[in-house]
Amino acid sequence: MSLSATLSNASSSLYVAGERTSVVSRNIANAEKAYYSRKSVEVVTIPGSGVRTSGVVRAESPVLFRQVLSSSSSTATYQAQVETLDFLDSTINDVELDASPAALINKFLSALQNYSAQPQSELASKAAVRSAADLANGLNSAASTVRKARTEADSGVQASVDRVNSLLDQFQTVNDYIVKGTLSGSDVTDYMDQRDEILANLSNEVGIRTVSRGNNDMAVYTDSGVTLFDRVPRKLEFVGSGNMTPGLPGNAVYIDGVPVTGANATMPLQSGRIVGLVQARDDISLSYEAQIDEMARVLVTAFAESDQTGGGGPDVPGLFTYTGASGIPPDGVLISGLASALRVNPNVDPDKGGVATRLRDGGISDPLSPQYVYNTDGSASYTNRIDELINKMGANYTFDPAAKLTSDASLTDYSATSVGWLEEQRKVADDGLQYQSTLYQRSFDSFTRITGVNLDEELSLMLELERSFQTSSKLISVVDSMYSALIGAIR
Amino acid sequence: MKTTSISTFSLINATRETRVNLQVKLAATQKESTTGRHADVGVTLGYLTQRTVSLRQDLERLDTFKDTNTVAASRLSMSQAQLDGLADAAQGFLTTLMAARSASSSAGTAVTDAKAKLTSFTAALNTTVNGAHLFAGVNTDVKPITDYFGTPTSAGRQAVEDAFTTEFGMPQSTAGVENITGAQMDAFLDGAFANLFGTADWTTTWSSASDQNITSRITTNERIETSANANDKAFRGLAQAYTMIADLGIQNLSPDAYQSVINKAIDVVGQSISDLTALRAALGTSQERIKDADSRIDIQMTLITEHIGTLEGVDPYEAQVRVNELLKQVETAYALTARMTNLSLLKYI
Repeated sequence: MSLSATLSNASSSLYVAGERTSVVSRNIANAEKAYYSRKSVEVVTIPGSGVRTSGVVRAESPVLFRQVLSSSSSTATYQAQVETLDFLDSTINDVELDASPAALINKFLSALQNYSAQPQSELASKAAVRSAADLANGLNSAASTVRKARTEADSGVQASVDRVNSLLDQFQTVNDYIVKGTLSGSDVTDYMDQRDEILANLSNEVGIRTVSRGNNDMAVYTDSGVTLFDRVPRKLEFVGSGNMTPGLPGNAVYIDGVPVTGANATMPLQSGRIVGLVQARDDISLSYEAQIDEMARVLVTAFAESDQTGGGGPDVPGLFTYTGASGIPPDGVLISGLASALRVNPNVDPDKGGVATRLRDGGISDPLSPQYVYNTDGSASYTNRIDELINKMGANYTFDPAAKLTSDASLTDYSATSVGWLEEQRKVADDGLQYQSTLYQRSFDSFTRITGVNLDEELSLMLELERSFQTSSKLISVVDSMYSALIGAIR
Repeated sequence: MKTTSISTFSLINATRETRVNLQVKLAATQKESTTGRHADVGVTLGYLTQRTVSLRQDLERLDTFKDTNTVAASRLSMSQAQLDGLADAAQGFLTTLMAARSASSSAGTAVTDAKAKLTSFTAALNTTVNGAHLFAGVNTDVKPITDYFGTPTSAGRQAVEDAFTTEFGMPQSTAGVENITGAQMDAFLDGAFANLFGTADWTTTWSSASDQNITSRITTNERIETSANANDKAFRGLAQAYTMIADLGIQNLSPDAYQSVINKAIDVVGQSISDLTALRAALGTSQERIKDADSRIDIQMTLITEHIGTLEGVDPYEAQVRVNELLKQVETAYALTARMTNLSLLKYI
């Protein structure tokens, strides 16, 4: 009975065309979504009785997707570093603006030199002390900028950890749908797109690796191999430090109670925003903070007053001192947080009731005691002390190697090296970011080229389906008219 | 089987990325072409930023040295002018003395001249510049020389009177001084009187100046003396000669003693003039060193500025060319985007 076979073939074709048109419309509707993958209907031929659909398949490219994930993690690492470094760079700005600690130290040196040329001038003495106060304030604010940058990075880690946790929860929901749907044979492709998008977002925060298993199930590990998701999500734990303590690294991030960042991590995270933030918070910022603290410490040492009576009294802090100071800090040993406590001795600060000319005469540490007075005659144009101070600013000091700079340099050189150090960190991070983001853009581009929807292609497919639908309909009407002819002949 | 493919999303995304990249570059290049420096010096130079910061430090320090050298140089030239005046006056005084030696009738003239010269000598040594006394050594806030004829009687004058009385048993103005012999007077002038102008007595009776001259750092490593002080031998000699004539009552002396005073004065003035010349030469050396330092500083500053320019600068013409290039590219990108949005199969069916 071939006419009825024709009829059933044509109707199966109509059904398939309908199915496929519906998928085409899905594709067109989602064409602008980044992680939507093009769907197509698999059509199988049933021998002798037309065609039928066997399921919806999605365009995939696992290799490129993995590359997208890893490059987005690396980009996020550098991005986080660049953000913090740019924040730290506000202590320097454009070198032309002379706002860096190095420039302030130099300005103060110039003010001292000016004072030494006119030691009798009250105005010059006040200008020099004011310049010293600017320097102390500059170091205070540099230290507080570093602390802010660290606090900012710390809360960034917190935000990242929260986001990872919520993404992992979403991941569980979607993954469950996929596994159940696959078992029951329903179309799970849209859920798989969703899962890809979650993974992409996840890779921004922390570097990940995925392992696919039966029934489209998926397990997620960090790039260091710690399980993030295996049937159930593992919780990331992090306690923000609030205000960062100078000289101490911030808290670590834990997964399942195991540290994955910081010195104690056995399987430390390799990439992702969290890694970048932790590096910025602990490595870069701590070193920079140590450099500023060292500058402050050496300032206190260089401007110390020594016993002039020959009584062998200990050196005492002079022009520069710090809150809680007891004597001169030991050489070459970092004192964390000193930069924020640095200040100009009120005994010499005219704004605080001090006498600016003590900068020339000595006796800043204790105006009542003659022990530390250099200008014993009270000569108005006594320059020996000022000159000694200028010499001391050019002399070499021992710096703590913990600050990751040279350990033997003059104050001015050290401050300039510190600027160079920070700018080098910026350059490295910026180069890294540019390289990785280009890599990310390229791999994401290749990925969407393969998995994305091309509207023109869908349109031509639609035309094709329209033709097939029309032809099948025509076929049915032809068979119909043939039947009518046959039945008419019988009647 | 498809061999190549492109999705609508990646087409649109590509044009968007290109536009953003071009605009970011454009902003930076525009800044470079207007400032002539790298848009972000730190990121461009990396660790080399240390170099430009150091150079900028040097530049500022050199600039400060130029300023402070001006202060020292002006103090020196003021001092030189005063010393010139003092030397001229001393030379004039020498002529007066010569005249007085040959004719004792000129004694009155010599006394008047000596008094005037002593006053102007005091004024010259008490010169102030910017509120600082030129010849006070480091003790610039104190007037170095007290007025000899001032009231109450100056310590210097009192000391002369006391010495005279001790030596001859009577003050200068009383009768009986005509009996002092030339030999006695010589002994007095070389002994007690000369001692009054020795370093020890001078600093207690005449001068409040400090022996320590003002020192100035004229370059990073050079520190030189940039003032003279009123305790110098030349000044003490001049004061000695002027006082001798002005206040020993030479009109009343015996011709013998008179001659001995005049001769001694000529001697001392002559010595002082040559001491003054030595002092002026010393100050002149300092002036010369400052001038040398300044010209060296100028050369260094030019070199450093050039060096900073090479490190931080970009060729503004090249930057301008790049801006134009980028503008063209952005325009092309816009045009392409517009064309691509029009490009659709829909239009042809």
